[in-house]
Amino acid sequence: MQERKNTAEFLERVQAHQDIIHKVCFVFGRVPADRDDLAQEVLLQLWRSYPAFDERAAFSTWMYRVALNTAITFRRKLKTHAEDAPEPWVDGAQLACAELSDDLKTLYLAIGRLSAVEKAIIMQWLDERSYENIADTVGISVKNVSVRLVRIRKRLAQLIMEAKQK
Amino acid sequence: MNDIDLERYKAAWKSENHFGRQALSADEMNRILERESKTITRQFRTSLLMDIVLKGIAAVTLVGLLFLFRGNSTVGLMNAVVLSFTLFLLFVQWKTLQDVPRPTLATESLHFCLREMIRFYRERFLRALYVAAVSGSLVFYIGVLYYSWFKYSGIRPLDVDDYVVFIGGLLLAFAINAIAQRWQAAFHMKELEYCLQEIDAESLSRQQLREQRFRRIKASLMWAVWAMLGMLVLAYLIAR
Repeated sequence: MQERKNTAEFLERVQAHQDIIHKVCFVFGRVPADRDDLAQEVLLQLWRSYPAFDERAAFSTWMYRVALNTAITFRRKLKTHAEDAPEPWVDGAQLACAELSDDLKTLYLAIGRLSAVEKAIIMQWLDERSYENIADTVGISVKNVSVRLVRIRKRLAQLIMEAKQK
Repeated sequence: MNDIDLERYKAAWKSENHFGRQALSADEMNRILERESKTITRQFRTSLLMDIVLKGIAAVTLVGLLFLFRGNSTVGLMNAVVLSFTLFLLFVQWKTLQDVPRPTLATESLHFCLREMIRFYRERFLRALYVAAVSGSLVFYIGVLYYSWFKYSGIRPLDVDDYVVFIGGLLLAFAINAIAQRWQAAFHMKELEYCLQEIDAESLSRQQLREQRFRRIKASLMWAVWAMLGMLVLAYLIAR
């Protein structure tokens, strides 16, 4: 009975913030199958770790940590690493992506060109997480986050410009 | 200029509700929670268990061979050595299984998780991989001896070609197993190391990175050399 209550409570909390899972999987997975695998793995990791979640951080911050750690350390199938894998929104199997606004398509295209660590940092900045949160999630100092964000933002702006010119 | 542009994209990112429309229902989530995790540590644990079972079966069949070839002292000695070696490898795999690290994805930083994952690969995964690859040679060895027993009721007189085929088979069975898995692991390990290097970029010198790579290569070579030595000892016993 208690377990069922916990499950219901967990699902309710995850559902309230599940855009975090979708965004992380969309940014880190290059093909639909890869993204589905990743989403499932993130959810499983959240569920397994939930009993140890001590409410010291916000639930969404905790979800971000699990999702990013899982996305970056998850071993993918070798074929999904192919550099010529299609961008998500031009993949015919992902029709729903056609609904993305032009700005978001450009943004995702630019983020897709960043390294895994840069992606992890910029995503949290876009979601207006504090520098302390970002530092804690990535494992670097707050000062380092600030320095890196200047660099990553500059690069992202450059990549957005390039994407728009295409 | 860059900042102004980015603020616009940031607003688009924040206000986009596309993913809200793709949301999973509670039922779909429940179904996912019943599935098996595909993390590398989980897969590693499963493959270790499978290898322990396989080596256990090999040990039992080797006892059978000891009994069947009890009249042939050379083959008997060889079987005893192989059985001892198998039991030792079983123990190694069992110890490794006890030490599989618990996932820390939910409690630690990305930096910590990457470091732990790389350490896991270097200290446990590669060793277990070479030990598991020996199972291929064991199956080949046992298969040949049982075939020989049922076909000739013992070992028929052997010439040089037979030894070459036998030793080649043992080495090939090991190499095929080891190389295929090593290739997969190396790819993932390189990715993880690249991420860790990027996070550490400002605090870790190139010298340290070179040392890290050197240690990894040294550990891999050591295990490969030990495995090859084991094979050579076995080959020597066969040819004696």
